Amino acid sequence: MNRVTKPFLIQAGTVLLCMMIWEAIVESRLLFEGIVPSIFEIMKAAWLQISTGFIFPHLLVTMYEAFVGFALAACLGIAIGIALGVEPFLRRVFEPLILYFAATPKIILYPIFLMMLGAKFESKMAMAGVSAFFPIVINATVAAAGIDRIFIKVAKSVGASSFQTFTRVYLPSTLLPVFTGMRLGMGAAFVGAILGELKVSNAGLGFIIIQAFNHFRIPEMYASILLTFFLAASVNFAMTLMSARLRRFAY
Amino acid sequence: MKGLPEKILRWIFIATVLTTIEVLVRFNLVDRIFLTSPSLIAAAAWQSLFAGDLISLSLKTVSAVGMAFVIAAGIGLSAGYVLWRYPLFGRAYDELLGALFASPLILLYPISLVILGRGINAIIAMAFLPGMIPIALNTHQGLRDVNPTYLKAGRGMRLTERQIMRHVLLPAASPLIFGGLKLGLTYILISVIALEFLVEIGGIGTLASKGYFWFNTEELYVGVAGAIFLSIIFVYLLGKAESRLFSS
Repeated sequence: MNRVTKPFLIQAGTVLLCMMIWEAIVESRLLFEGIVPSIFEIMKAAWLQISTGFIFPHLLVTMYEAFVGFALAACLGIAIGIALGVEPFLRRVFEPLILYFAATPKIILYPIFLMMLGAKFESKMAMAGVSAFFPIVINATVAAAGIDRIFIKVAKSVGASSFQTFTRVYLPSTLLPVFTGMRLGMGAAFVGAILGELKVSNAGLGFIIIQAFNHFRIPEMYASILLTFFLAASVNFAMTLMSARLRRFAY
Repeated sequence: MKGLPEKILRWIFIATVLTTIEVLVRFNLVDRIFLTSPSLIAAAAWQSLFAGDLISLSLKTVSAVGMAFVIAAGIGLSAGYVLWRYPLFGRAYDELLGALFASPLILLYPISLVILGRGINAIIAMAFLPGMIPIALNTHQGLRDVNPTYLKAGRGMRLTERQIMRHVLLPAASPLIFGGLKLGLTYILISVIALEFLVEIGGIGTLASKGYFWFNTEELYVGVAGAIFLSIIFVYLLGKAESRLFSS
Protein backbone atom coordinates (compact mmCIF):
# COMPACT_ATOMS: atom_id res chain seq x y z
CA MET A 1 0.00 0.00 0.00
CA ASN A 2 1.32 3.43 -0.84
CA ARG A 3 1.26 6.82 0.88
CA VAL A 4 -2.16 7.77 -0.42
CA THR A 5 -4.31 4.69 0.13
CA LYS A 6 -3.34 4.09 3.77
CA PRO A 7 -4.52 7.46 5.11
CA PHE A 8 -7.62 7.13 2.94
CA LEU A 9 -8.42 3.76 4.51
CA ILE A 10 -8.03 5.29 7.98
CA GLN A 11 -10.35 8.15 7.01
CA ALA A 12 -12.99 5.81 5.60
CA GLY A 13 -12.61 3.55 8.63
CA THR A 14 -13.11 6.48 11.01
CA VAL A 15 -16.28 7.60 9.26
CA LEU A 16 -17.57 4.02 9.31
CA LEU A 17 -16.68 3.64 12.99
CA CYS A 18 -18.53 6.87 13.86
CA MET A 19 -21.59 5.62 12.00
CA MET A 20 -21.42 2.29 13.85
CA ILE A 21 -21.12 4.06 17.22
CA TRP A 22 -24.13 6.18 16.29
CA GLU A 23 -26.15 3.08 15.37
CA ALA A 24 -25.03 1.35 18.58
CA ILE A 25 -26.28 4.34 20.60
CA VAL A 26 -29.59 4.14 18.74
CA GLU A 27 -29.91 0.39 19.34
CA SER A 28 -28.86 0.57 23.01
CA ARG A 29 -31.63 3.13 23.68
CA LEU A 30 -29.20 4.98 25.96
CA LEU A 31 -30.60 8.22 24.60
CA PHE A 32 -34.25 8.81 23.97
CA GLU A 33 -35.12 7.25 20.62
CA GLY A 34 -36.76 10.40 19.29
CA ILE A 35 -33.60 12.49 19.51
CA VAL A 36 -31.09 10.12 17.87
CA PRO A 37 -32.82 8.46 14.92
CA SER A 38 -31.06 5.67 13.05
CA ILE A 39 -28.95 6.59 10.01
CA PHE A 40 -31.36 4.70 7.75
CA GLU A 41 -34.24 6.77 8.98
CA ILE A 42 -32.28 9.99 8.33
CA MET A 43 -31.40 8.78 4.83
CA LYS A 44 -35.05 7.93 4.20
CA ALA A 45 -36.10 11.41 5.30
CA ALA A 46 -33.41 12.97 3.09
CA TRP A 47 -34.52 10.92 0.10
CA LEU A 48 -38.12 11.93 0.73
CA GLN A 49 -37.14 15.62 0.78
CA ILE A 50 -35.37 15.21 -2.57
CA SER A 51 -37.77 12.85 -4.36
CA THR A 52 -40.88 14.84 -3.51
CA GLY A 53 -39.13 18.04 -4.59
CA PHE A 54 -39.88 19.55 -1.19
CA ILE A 55 -36.38 20.88 -0.63
CA PHE A 56 -35.77 22.57 -4.00
CA PRO A 57 -37.72 25.82 -3.56
CA HIS A 58 -35.98 26.30 -0.20
CA LEU A 59 -32.62 25.49 -1.75
CA LEU A 60 -33.24 28.13 -4.42
CA VAL A 61 -34.16 30.74 -1.83
CA THR A 62 -30.98 30.13 0.17
CA MET A 63 -28.82 30.14 -2.96
CA TYR A 64 -30.43 33.35 -4.17
CA GLU A 65 -29.79 35.10 -0.86
CA ALA A 66 -26.24 33.79 -0.59
CA PHE A 67 -25.30 34.65 -4.18
CA VAL A 68 -26.64 38.21 -4.11
CA GLY A 69 -24.92 38.88 -0.77
CA PHE A 70 -21.74 37.28 -2.04
CA ALA A 71 -21.75 39.32 -5.27
CA LEU A 72 -22.08 42.60 -3.35
CA ALA A 73 -19.36 41.54 -0.89
CA ALA A 74 -17.05 40.49 -3.73
CA CYS A 75 -17.37 43.83 -5.60
CA LEU A 76 -16.86 45.88 -2.46
CA GLY A 77 -14.25 43.60 -0.91
CA ILE A 78 -12.04 43.39 -3.99
CA ALA A 79 -12.23 47.14 -4.68
CA ILE A 80 -11.42 48.11 -1.09
CA GLY A 81 -8.83 45.36 -0.73
CA ILE A 82 -6.91 46.43 -3.84
CA ALA A 83 -7.09 50.09 -2.80
CA LEU A 84 -5.66 49.25 0.62
CA GLY A 85 -3.08 46.88 -0.83
CA VAL A 86 -1.53 49.31 -3.32
CA GLU A 87 -1.55 52.26 -0.89
CA PRO A 88 0.55 51.30 2.16
CA PHE A 89 -0.57 54.32 4.18
CA LEU A 90 -4.28 53.50 3.76
CA ARG A 91 -3.52 49.90 4.62
CA ARG A 92 -1.87 50.89 7.90
CA VAL A 93 -4.87 53.06 8.79
CA PHE A 94 -7.70 50.69 7.95
CA GLU A 95 -6.37 47.14 8.08
CA PRO A 96 -6.39 46.90 11.90
CA LEU A 97 -10.05 47.96 11.93
CA ILE A 98 -10.92 45.32 9.33
CA LEU A 99 -9.01 42.61 11.20
CA TYR A 100 -10.74 43.45 14.48
CA PHE A 101 -14.19 43.39 12.92
CA ALA A 102 -13.41 40.18 11.07
CA ALA A 103 -13.10 38.45 14.46
CA THR A 104 -16.55 39.51 15.69
CA PRO A 105 -19.68 37.37 15.32
CA LYS A 106 -21.47 38.87 12.32
CA ILE A 107 -24.83 37.31 13.21
CA ILE A 108 -25.16 39.83 16.05
CA LEU A 109 -25.85 42.49 13.35
CA TYR A 110 -28.82 40.49 12.08
CA PRO A 111 -31.52 42.24 14.19
CA ILE A 112 -30.36 45.57 12.73
CA PHE A 113 -30.73 44.17 9.21
CA LEU A 114 -34.15 42.79 10.14
CA MET A 115 -35.30 46.21 11.30
CA MET A 116 -33.93 48.06 8.30
CA LEU A 117 -34.55 45.54 5.52
CA GLY A 118 -37.47 43.49 6.79
CA ALA A 119 -37.82 39.78 7.50
CA LYS A 120 -37.74 38.66 3.85
CA PHE A 121 -34.78 37.97 1.55
CA GLU A 122 -32.98 41.30 1.86
CA SER A 123 -31.96 40.87 5.50
CA LYS A 124 -30.43 37.46 4.70
CA MET A 125 -28.62 38.94 1.71
CA ALA A 126 -27.14 41.54 4.06
CA MET A 127 -26.10 38.76 6.45
CA ALA A 128 -24.50 36.82 3.59
CA GLY A 129 -22.79 39.99 2.35
CA VAL A 130 -21.31 40.98 5.70
CA SER A 131 -20.10 37.43 6.34
CA ALA A 132 -18.47 37.14 2.90
CA PHE A 133 -16.93 40.62 2.90
CA PHE A 134 -14.17 40.02 5.46
CA PRO A 135 -12.37 36.99 3.99
CA ILE A 136 -12.52 38.64 0.55
CA VAL A 137 -11.21 42.05 1.60
CA ILE A 138 -8.42 40.56 3.75
CA ASN A 139 -7.19 38.31 0.94
CA ALA A 140 -7.47 41.06 -1.67
CA THR A 141 -5.43 43.44 0.52
CA VAL A 142 -2.66 40.92 1.05
CA ALA A 143 -2.70 39.97 -2.64
CA ALA A 144 -2.50 43.56 -3.88
CA ALA A 145 0.25 44.42 -1.41
CA GLY A 146 2.24 41.43 -2.60
CA ILE A 147 2.41 42.49 -6.26
CA ASP A 148 6.01 42.67 -7.40
CA ARG A 149 6.79 46.40 -7.81
CA ILE A 150 9.09 45.60 -10.71
CA PHE A 151 6.10 44.43 -12.79
CA ILE A 152 4.43 47.79 -12.31
CA LYS A 153 7.65 49.66 -13.13
CA VAL A 154 8.12 47.61 -16.29
CA ALA A 155 4.52 48.23 -17.34
CA LYS A 156 5.05 51.97 -16.86
CA SER A 157 8.33 52.02 -18.74
CA VAL A 158 6.84 50.26 -21.76
CA GLY A 159 4.07 52.87 -21.75
CA ALA A 160 1.12 50.72 -20.65
CA SER A 161 -2.09 52.62 -19.95
CA SER A 162 -3.62 52.30 -16.51
CA PHE A 163 -6.27 49.95 -17.93
CA GLN A 164 -3.55 47.79 -19.46
CA THR A 165 -1.61 47.84 -16.19
CA PHE A 166 -4.73 46.65 -14.44
CA THR A 167 -5.54 43.82 -16.86
CA ARG A 168 -1.92 42.73 -17.44
CA VAL A 169 -0.35 43.23 -14.02
CA TYR A 170 -2.86 43.64 -11.22
CA LEU A 171 -5.42 41.10 -12.37
CA PRO A 172 -3.11 38.16 -13.08
CA SER A 173 -0.95 38.70 -9.98
CA THR A 174 -3.85 38.91 -7.57
CA LEU A 175 -6.14 36.38 -9.25
CA LEU A 176 -5.39 33.29 -7.18
CA PRO A 177 -5.27 34.77 -3.67
CA VAL A 178 -8.35 36.87 -4.38
CA PHE A 179 -10.14 33.77 -5.61
CA THR A 180 -9.17 31.92 -2.43
CA GLY A 181 -10.78 34.78 -0.49
CA MET A 182 -13.87 34.44 -2.68
CA ARG A 183 -14.07 30.71 -2.01
CA LEU A 184 -13.93 31.30 1.74
CA GLY A 185 -16.37 34.20 1.34
CA MET A 186 -18.83 32.01 -0.54
CA GLY A 187 -18.83 29.51 2.33
CA ALA A 188 -19.30 32.33 4.83
CA ALA A 189 -22.15 33.78 2.71
CA PHE A 190 -24.02 30.47 2.84
CA VAL A 191 -23.55 30.14 6.59
CA GLY A 192 -24.62 33.78 7.09
CA ALA A 193 -27.78 33.39 5.04
CA ILE A 194 -28.71 30.09 6.71
CA LEU A 195 -28.09 31.43 10.23
CA GLY A 196 -30.38 34.35 9.40
CA GLU A 197 -33.02 31.91 8.20
CA LEU A 198 -32.68 29.85 11.37
CA LYS A 199 -33.52 32.91 13.47
CA VAL A 200 -36.32 34.64 11.51
CA SER A 201 -37.61 33.56 8.08
CA ASN A 202 -40.36 31.88 6.13
CA ALA A 203 -38.33 30.07 3.47
CA GLY A 204 -34.90 28.59 2.87
CA LEU A 205 -32.79 25.71 4.18
CA GLY A 206 -32.42 27.30 7.61
CA PHE A 207 -36.18 27.67 7.75
CA ILE A 208 -36.90 23.99 7.11
CA ILE A 209 -34.25 22.95 9.65
CA ILE A 210 -35.77 25.08 12.40
CA GLN A 211 -39.35 24.15 11.39
CA ALA A 212 -38.49 20.47 11.77
CA PHE A 213 -36.83 21.27 15.12
CA ASN A 214 -39.82 23.23 16.42
CA HIS A 215 -42.30 20.52 15.40
CA PHE A 216 -40.04 17.76 16.72
CA ARG A 217 -39.74 16.05 13.32
CA ILE A 218 -36.21 15.03 14.27
CA PRO A 219 -35.23 12.70 11.36
CA GLU A 220 -36.33 15.45 8.99
CA MET A 221 -34.18 17.96 10.87
CA TYR A 222 -31.08 15.75 10.61
CA ALA A 223 -31.83 15.15 6.93
CA SER A 224 -32.07 18.88 6.17
CA ILE A 225 -28.82 19.58 8.01
CA LEU A 226 -27.14 16.73 6.14
CA LEU A 227 -28.31 18.07 2.78
CA THR A 228 -27.18 21.58 3.73
CA PHE A 229 -23.70 20.24 4.54
CA PHE A 230 -23.70 18.42 1.23
CA LEU A 231 -24.59 21.66 -0.59
CA ALA A 232 -21.84 23.60 1.22
CA ALA A 233 -19.28 20.91 0.36
CA SER A 234 -20.34 20.88 -3.33
CA VAL A 235 -20.09 24.67 -3.63
CA ASN A 236 -16.65 24.58 -2.02
CA PHE A 237 -15.59 21.75 -4.33
CA ALA A 238 -16.85 23.61 -7.42
CA MET A 239 -14.91 26.72 -6.43
CA THR A 240 -11.76 24.66 -5.82
CA LEU A 241 -12.07 23.20 -9.34
CA MET A 242 -12.54 26.69 -10.76
CA SER A 243 -9.44 27.94 -9.00
CA ALA A 244 -7.43 25.12 -10.60
CA ARG A 245 -8.70 26.34 -13.98
CA LEU A 246 -7.80 29.93 -13.19
CA ARG A 247 -4.22 28.92 -12.45
CA ARG A 248 -3.51 29.12 -16.19
CA PHE A 249 -4.22 32.84 -16.27
CA ALA A 250 -2.27 33.70 -13.17
CA TYR A 251 1.39 34.23 -12.43
CA MET B 1 6.64 57.83 17.22
CA LYS B 2 6.22 55.60 14.19
CA GLY B 3 2.66 54.89 13.12
CA LEU B 4 1.23 57.83 15.04
CA PRO B 5 -0.49 59.64 12.12
CA GLU B 6 -2.12 56.36 11.10
CA LYS B 7 -3.46 55.88 14.59
CA ILE B 8 -4.82 59.43 14.75
CA LEU B 9 -6.41 59.09 11.33
CA ARG B 10 -8.02 55.78 12.35
CA TRP B 11 -9.61 57.41 15.40
CA ILE B 12 -10.72 60.40 13.31
CA PHE B 13 -12.40 57.95 10.94
CA ILE B 14 -14.21 56.19 13.79
CA ALA B 15 -15.24 59.54 15.29
CA THR B 16 -16.55 60.72 11.91
CA VAL B 17 -18.68 57.61 11.48
CA LEU B 18 -20.14 57.96 15.00
CA THR B 19 -20.77 61.69 14.58
CA THR B 20 -22.53 61.13 11.26
CA ILE B 21 -24.88 58.62 12.89
CA GLU B 22 -25.44 60.99 15.82
CA VAL B 23 -26.34 63.85 13.46
CA LEU B 24 -28.61 61.66 11.32
CA VAL B 25 -30.56 60.58 14.38
CA ARG B 26 -30.63 63.97 16.14
CA PHE B 27 -32.05 65.71 13.07
CA ASN B 28 -34.58 62.94 12.57
CA LEU B 29 -33.19 62.03 9.17
CA VAL B 30 -33.72 58.33 9.95
CA ASP B 31 -36.46 56.60 11.88
CA ARG B 32 -35.45 56.15 15.51
CA ILE B 33 -36.91 52.67 15.53
CA PHE B 34 -34.17 51.59 13.10
CA LEU B 35 -31.20 53.51 14.30
CA THR B 36 -30.42 55.22 17.54
CA SER B 37 -27.64 57.66 18.29
CA PRO B 38 -24.30 56.59 19.77
CA SER B 39 -24.84 58.95 22.73
CA LEU B 40 -28.16 57.27 23.60
CA ILE B 41 -26.56 53.82 23.23
CA ALA B 42 -23.73 54.93 25.51
CA ALA B 43 -26.22 56.25 28.07
CA ALA B 44 -28.19 53.00 27.98
CA ALA B 45 -24.98 50.99 28.27
CA TRP B 46 -23.86 53.15 31.24
CA GLN B 47 -27.17 52.57 32.99
CA SER B 48 -27.06 48.87 32.27
CA LEU B 49 -23.48 48.77 33.53
CA PHE B 50 -24.55 50.30 36.84
CA ALA B 51 -27.56 48.06 37.19
CA GLY B 52 -25.05 45.22 36.82
CA ASP B 53 -26.84 43.58 33.89
CA LEU B 54 -24.13 44.20 31.36
CA ILE B 55 -21.42 42.89 33.67
CA SER B 56 -23.30 39.74 34.68
CA LEU B 57 -24.18 39.00 31.04
CA SER B 58 -20.55 39.51 29.97
CA LEU B 59 -19.37 37.27 32.79
CA LYS B 60 -21.79 34.56 31.67
CA THR B 61 -20.38 34.76 28.15
CA VAL B 62 -16.77 34.80 29.34
CA SER B 63 -17.32 31.79 31.62
CA ALA B 64 -18.94 29.79 28.81
CA VAL B 65 -16.01 30.74 26.56
CA GLY B 66 -13.58 29.75 29.32
CA MET B 67 -15.16 26.35 29.86
CA ALA B 68 -15.32 25.56 26.16
CA PHE B 69 -11.71 26.71 25.78
CA VAL B 70 -10.39 24.53 28.63
CA ILE B 71 -12.03 21.45 27.10
CA ALA B 72 -10.96 22.38 23.56
CA ALA B 73 -7.36 23.07 24.65
CA GLY B 74 -7.13 19.85 26.67
CA ILE B 75 -8.42 17.65 23.88
CA GLY B 76 -6.85 19.66 21.05
CA LEU B 77 -3.34 19.67 22.51
CA SER B 78 -3.40 15.95 23.30
CA ALA B 79 -4.90 15.14 19.90
CA GLY B 80 -2.17 17.20 18.21
CA TYR B 81 0.48 15.30 20.17
CA VAL B 82 -1.01 11.91 19.27
CA LEU B 83 -1.23 12.89 15.58
CA TRP B 84 2.45 13.85 15.65
CA ARG B 85 3.45 10.65 17.49
CA TYR B 86 1.66 8.46 14.90
CA PRO B 87 2.40 10.15 11.54
CA LEU B 88 0.18 7.83 9.49
CA PHE B 89 -2.83 8.82 11.58
CA GLY B 90 -1.57 12.38 11.50
CA ARG B 91 -1.74 12.47 7.70
CA ALA B 92 -5.19 10.88 7.65
CA TYR B 93 -6.73 13.02 10.38
CA ASP B 94 -5.19 16.31 9.23
CA GLU B 95 -7.32 16.08 6.10
CA LEU B 96 -10.38 14.89 7.95
CA LEU B 97 -10.15 17.66 10.56
CA GLY B 98 -9.42 20.25 7.87
CA ALA B 99 -12.55 19.23 5.97
CA LEU B 100 -14.59 19.34 9.16
CA PHE B 101 -13.22 22.78 10.00
CA ALA B 102 -14.16 24.09 6.54
CA SER B 103 -17.73 22.85 6.90
CA PRO B 104 -20.45 25.03 8.45
CA LEU B 105 -20.20 23.41 11.91
CA ILE B 106 -22.37 26.03 13.61
CA LEU B 107 -25.38 24.78 11.63
CA LEU B 108 -25.27 21.63 13.76
CA TYR B 109 -26.57 23.57 16.76
CA PRO B 110 -30.16 22.27 16.58
CA ILE B 111 -28.73 18.76 17.02
CA SER B 112 -26.81 19.87 20.08
CA LEU B 113 -29.99 21.43 21.50
CA VAL B 114 -31.95 18.25 20.86
CA ILE B 115 -29.38 15.99 22.51
CA LEU B 116 -28.13 18.17 25.38
CA GLY B 117 -31.23 20.22 26.00
CA ARG B 118 -31.76 23.93 25.78
CA GLY B 119 -28.99 25.08 28.11
CA ILE B 120 -25.48 26.35 28.48
CA ASN B 121 -24.09 22.83 27.92
CA ALA B 122 -25.43 22.81 24.38
CA ILE B 123 -23.64 26.11 23.71
CA ILE B 124 -20.36 24.90 25.21
CA ALA B 125 -20.51 21.68 23.18
CA MET B 126 -21.12 23.58 19.95
CA ALA B 127 -18.33 26.10 20.64
CA PHE B 128 -15.89 23.34 21.57
CA LEU B 129 -15.70 21.82 18.09
CA PRO B 130 -14.55 24.86 16.03
CA GLY B 131 -12.16 25.70 18.90
CA MET B 132 -10.57 22.29 19.23
CA ILE B 133 -9.79 21.70 15.54
CA PRO B 134 -7.33 24.59 14.96
CA ILE B 135 -5.61 23.77 18.27
CA ALA B 136 -5.11 20.11 17.25
CA LEU B 137 -4.00 20.99 13.71
CA ASN B 138 -1.53 23.68 14.82
CA THR B 139 -0.07 21.53 17.61
CA HIS B 140 0.48 18.73 15.13
CA GLN B 141 2.06 21.05 12.57
CA GLY B 142 4.19 22.80 15.19
CA LEU B 143 5.69 19.55 16.48
CA ARG B 144 6.12 18.13 12.99
CA ASP B 145 7.95 21.18 11.66
CA VAL B 146 10.58 21.29 14.42
CA ASN B 147 13.97 21.36 12.75
CA PRO B 148 15.35 17.77 12.86
CA THR B 149 18.80 19.14 13.61
CA TYR B 150 17.55 20.31 17.02
CA LEU B 151 16.32 16.80 17.77
CA LYS B 152 19.63 15.29 16.69
CA ALA B 153 21.47 17.77 18.89
CA GLY B 154 19.21 16.85 21.81
CA ARG B 155 19.77 13.12 21.29
CA GLY B 156 23.52 13.79 20.92
CA MET B 157 23.46 15.33 24.36
CA ARG B 158 21.78 12.16 25.61
CA LEU B 159 18.59 13.87 26.66
CA THR B 160 15.74 11.55 27.63
CA GLU B 161 12.51 11.62 25.60
CA ARG B 162 10.92 13.68 28.35
CA GLN B 163 13.78 16.17 28.38
CA ILE B 164 13.64 16.46 24.58
CA MET B 165 9.94 17.22 24.81
CA ARG B 166 10.45 19.78 27.54
CA HIS B 167 13.59 21.55 26.27
CA VAL B 168 13.55 21.03 22.50
CA LEU B 169 10.16 20.22 21.02
CA LEU B 170 7.88 22.43 23.10
CA PRO B 171 9.92 25.65 22.87
CA ALA B 172 10.44 25.20 19.14
CA ALA B 173 6.77 24.44 18.45
CA SER B 174 5.34 27.00 20.88
CA PRO B 175 4.70 29.88 18.40
CA LEU B 176 2.52 27.64 16.22
CA ILE B 177 0.82 26.04 19.23
CA PHE B 178 0.04 29.48 20.61
CA GLY B 179 -1.28 30.51 17.19
CA GLY B 180 -3.63 27.52 17.34
CA LEU B 181 -4.80 28.39 20.85
CA LYS B 182 -5.43 31.98 19.77
CA LEU B 183 -7.39 30.91 16.70
CA GLY B 184 -9.33 28.38 18.77
CA LEU B 185 -10.23 30.93 21.41
CA THR B 186 -11.39 33.43 18.77
CA TYR B 187 -13.60 30.80 17.13
CA ILE B 188 -15.02 29.79 20.51
CA LEU B 189 -15.89 33.39 21.36
CA ILE B 190 -17.59 33.96 18.00
CA SER B 191 -19.54 30.71 18.33
CA VAL B 192 -20.63 31.36 21.92
CA ILE B 193 -21.95 34.87 21.16
CA ALA B 194 -23.61 33.73 17.93
CA LEU B 195 -25.31 30.81 19.70
CA GLU B 196 -26.41 32.97 22.61
CA PHE B 197 -28.05 35.22 20.07
CA LEU B 198 -29.64 32.38 18.10
CA VAL B 199 -30.92 30.33 21.03
CA GLU B 200 -31.44 33.19 23.49
CA ILE B 201 -29.74 31.59 26.47
CA GLY B 202 -26.67 32.76 28.36
CA GLY B 203 -24.85 36.06 28.17
CA ILE B 204 -24.28 39.13 26.07
CA GLY B 205 -25.61 37.64 22.80
CA THR B 206 -29.14 37.35 24.20
CA LEU B 207 -29.41 41.12 24.72
CA ALA B 208 -29.58 41.99 21.01
CA SER B 209 -32.14 39.28 20.36
CA LYS B 210 -34.40 40.41 23.22
CA GLY B 211 -34.04 44.05 22.20
CA TYR B 212 -35.21 43.17 18.72
CA PHE B 213 -38.21 41.14 19.79
CA TRP B 214 -39.39 43.80 22.27
CA PHE B 215 -38.71 46.66 19.83
CA ASN B 216 -36.34 48.17 22.36
CA THR B 217 -33.91 49.84 19.98
CA GLU B 218 -31.47 51.04 22.66
CA GLU B 219 -31.24 47.59 24.24
CA LEU B 220 -30.70 46.05 20.83
CA TYR B 221 -27.83 48.39 20.04
CA VAL B 222 -26.31 47.98 23.50
CA GLY B 223 -26.34 44.22 22.86
CA VAL B 224 -24.76 44.57 19.41
CA ALA B 225 -22.13 47.06 20.61
CA GLY B 226 -21.42 45.00 23.74
CA ALA B 227 -20.87 41.81 21.74
CA ILE B 228 -18.59 43.55 19.26
CA PHE B 229 -16.71 45.32 22.06
CA LEU B 230 -16.18 42.06 23.96
CA SER B 231 -14.76 40.32 20.87
CA ILE B 232 -12.49 43.28 20.11
CA ILE B 233 -11.09 43.22 23.67
CA PHE B 234 -10.42 39.50 23.35
CA VAL B 235 -8.60 39.87 20.05
CA TYR B 236 -6.62 42.83 21.39
CA LEU B 237 -5.51 40.97 24.52
CA LEU B 238 -4.58 37.86 22.53
CA GLY B 239 -2.49 39.96 20.15
CA LYS B 240 -0.71 41.62 23.10
CA ALA B 241 -0.04 38.27 24.76
CA GLU B 242 1.37 36.87 21.53
CA SER B 243 3.73 39.77 20.89
CA ARG B 244 4.89 39.72 24.51
CA LEU B 245 5.57 35.98 24.48
CA PHE B 246 7.24 35.71 21.11
CA SER B 247 8.66 39.15 20.43
CA SER B 248 12.31 38.17 20.76
